[in-house]
Amino acid sequence: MSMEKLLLRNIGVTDSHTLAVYQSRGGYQSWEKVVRNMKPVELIEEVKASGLRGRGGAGFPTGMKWSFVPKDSPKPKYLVCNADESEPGTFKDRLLIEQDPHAIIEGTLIAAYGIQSHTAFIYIRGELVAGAKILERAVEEACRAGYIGKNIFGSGYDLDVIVHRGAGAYICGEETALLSSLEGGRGWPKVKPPFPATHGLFGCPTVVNNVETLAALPWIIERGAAAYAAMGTEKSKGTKLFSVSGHISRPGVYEVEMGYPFKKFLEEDCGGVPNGRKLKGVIPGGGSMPVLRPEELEKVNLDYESVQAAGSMLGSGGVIVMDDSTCMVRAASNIARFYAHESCGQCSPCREGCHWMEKIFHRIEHGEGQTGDLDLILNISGNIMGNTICPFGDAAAMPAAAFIRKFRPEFEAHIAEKRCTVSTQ
Amino acid sequence: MDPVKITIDGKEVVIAKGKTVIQAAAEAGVAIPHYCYHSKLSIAGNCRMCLVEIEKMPKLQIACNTQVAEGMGVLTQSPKVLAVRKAVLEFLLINHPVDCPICDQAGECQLQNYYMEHNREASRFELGKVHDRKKTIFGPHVIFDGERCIKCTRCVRFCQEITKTDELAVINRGDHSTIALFDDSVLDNPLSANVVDICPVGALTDRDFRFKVRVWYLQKTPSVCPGCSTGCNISVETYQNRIARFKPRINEAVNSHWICDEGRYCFHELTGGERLTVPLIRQEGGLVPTTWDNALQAVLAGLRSAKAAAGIMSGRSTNEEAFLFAKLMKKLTPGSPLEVCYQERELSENQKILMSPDRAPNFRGGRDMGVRANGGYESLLQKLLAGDVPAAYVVGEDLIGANGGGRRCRNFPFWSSKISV
Repeated sequence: MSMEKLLLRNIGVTDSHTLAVYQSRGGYQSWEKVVRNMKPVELIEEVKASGLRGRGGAGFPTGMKWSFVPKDSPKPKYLVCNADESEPGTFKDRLLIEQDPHAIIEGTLIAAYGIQSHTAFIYIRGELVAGAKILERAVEEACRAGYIGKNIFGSGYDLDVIVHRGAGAYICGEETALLSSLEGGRGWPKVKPPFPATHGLFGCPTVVNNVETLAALPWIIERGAAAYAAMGTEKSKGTKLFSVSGHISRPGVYEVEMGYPFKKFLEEDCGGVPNGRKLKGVIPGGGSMPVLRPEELEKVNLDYESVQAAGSMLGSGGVIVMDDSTCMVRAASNIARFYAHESCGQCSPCREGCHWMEKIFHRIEHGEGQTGDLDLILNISGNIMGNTICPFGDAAAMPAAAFIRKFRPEFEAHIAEKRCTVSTQ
Repeated sequence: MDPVKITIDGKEVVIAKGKTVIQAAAEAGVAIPHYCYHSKLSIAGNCRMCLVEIEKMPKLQIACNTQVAEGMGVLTQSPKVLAVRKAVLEFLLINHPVDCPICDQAGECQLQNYYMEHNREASRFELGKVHDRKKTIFGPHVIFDGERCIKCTRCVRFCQEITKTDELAVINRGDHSTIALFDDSVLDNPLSANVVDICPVGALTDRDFRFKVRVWYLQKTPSVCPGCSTGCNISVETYQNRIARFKPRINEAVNSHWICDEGRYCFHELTGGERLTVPLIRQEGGLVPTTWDNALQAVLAGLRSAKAAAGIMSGRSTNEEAFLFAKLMKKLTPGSPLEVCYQERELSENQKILMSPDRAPNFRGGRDMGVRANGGYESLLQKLLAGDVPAAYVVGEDLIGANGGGRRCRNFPFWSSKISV
């Protein structure tokens, strides 16, 4: 894979987190171009034309999201950068935060300008202590350089950026829970409608964009929407970051042009499964997405549509690779435990269902599974799916059901023999 | 608002734009089961019991937060809807102790009712239930059982939105979520016991009513609260001719869905220690019990011997009592000034939500029946204090603290004892 890096272009450069290095590599020129030469509506059109889609997991077109913000609202508008990266198997945003914070800040400024917000927040996951410090320092640098503050570039446009640390809840990555938390409340998702574009932070029009989405903006402004849209597939444009972990020779964060063959990516770019083991399953988009079997990977490309056609989702791009030494019961149980632990407890199906599934997975894993357990989990996950306030319910239900559907004989053997038949651990 | 036309289970309903499906259904007489939705509180959407099918929408939608739209087709009885109700009930019950035999809510519990209506199957949950606190005292009137709680947050929203006192909050996460007092607060606002009424299950119970009587034995009589002049509509609920509790009755013009704690528990005065149960007469050394004949004779003698007298009647008297009082006084002491006792009290912002400054429920009724003097009660009182009127017949009020400290009239500690009753 030889392609120009957009998102990772500054990664690996010495002191890439400093303003001096960022500026020396063309940093904040896009911001200046936007403020000096572009009207907000032109900026929104440009982003729409680029085909950029939200990189937090849902893949919603970014420009369209901005255009939902009412222009005539008398209320203040807010731009929020979602840096609450917590999806299992995902660590792409952290890399950008720690090594290229100014790209995120520049993207945040551009997006804020697009919706004419004068206060932008960067909500960073509580556990990313170093990242928060780096971001705060970077914001300070950008303030001192006049990129943030009053009357930016003499345009009369004011913008403040506030870094806010979360307290360590997965659910606060969900945009409305993030807003509740930012408001000082309990990190509970809000019932929709109304949507954040009209009733977001403190009831004001708000856009929440993922770190990676925002970090792509400076490049798009610099090179133009057409250059970005020239990459990728018809509906999935540009490049995307993938966090590859698990049983893989070269784990790490990769930037891949949308539409790149999944199998080729794993085998050639990531070096394949090590130690002569065979591939058993891959989660393509973070812990909440359905696992894929090796044979399902054959024709899958790394773009939203192709992965969806294979029965999973691109999600956050957290690729978790499992070789044939992996006990799928244990893997499923592990994921179920995560969701049971992180369920916020607001709505009934998720609050009760996630724990119920986790308890059943746990007993199967520990040799106490019963006939009927698998169908029960499938039924519970079906009862959660689509019936909850936020996508968390689906995120817990989908992987649970997928593990059972795709590796059912292994689960049945586990129940019948009351022990693991795969792993020797 | 423009009306829109929708169908609910094929039935056409015309309703104002901006209303929700659950409101439209209620108007059309279609019951959609729900826990967290309450017409006087904000939408929480957390119980998921009101999920309904909306034609042309792939996912089920919560009726409480879905606004009606022209031509919308709502299905409340489709197989998908019935299945999800069953599922939600199963979820709500997996960690519920099912301790109905010892639960005060039994008989008026929405978990019981909806379970019988929509589920009726044995739970498939056979693992360890989550345990929670069984008897946490939230305040003077309310006690909390965490295991029975379904986290609908009605109580939390009540304290946020109606009383604006924020005593309650949800703490912890997942299936360990529970309701708790926020920081060191106590649930003692003037409307606190309403959280018991809006709790759809047995999580919040009334410390006063708790364990007294099973609700299906209660006889319910619609009435009006005698606690103050607001006149909140209540249901007097009795068992074996004793009042077991007051419950609010909905009247949007007066008290909406609520009653204050003072009114709710004021029925205890009927059986409390300060109520006169036999006539007492003042002799040397204090009050002594006597017969009604003797007491009435003493009143008659007192009034007849007085050159002039005043009549003061309690604002708690009925119209009929006031009428008879006026008639009696006009006959015995013609021309004597009559007035209904009136005392105002200071109220906090929270008390003002329902409580009136005037504690007597029928001041106006008494005056309308002719118990009324020129200048009003205050002026008559001044005359009495100045000794301008040598005698007064006081009915239903304890102006001089004769019966245990003058509770009703603590505002007048300087009352002249020259005046005989």
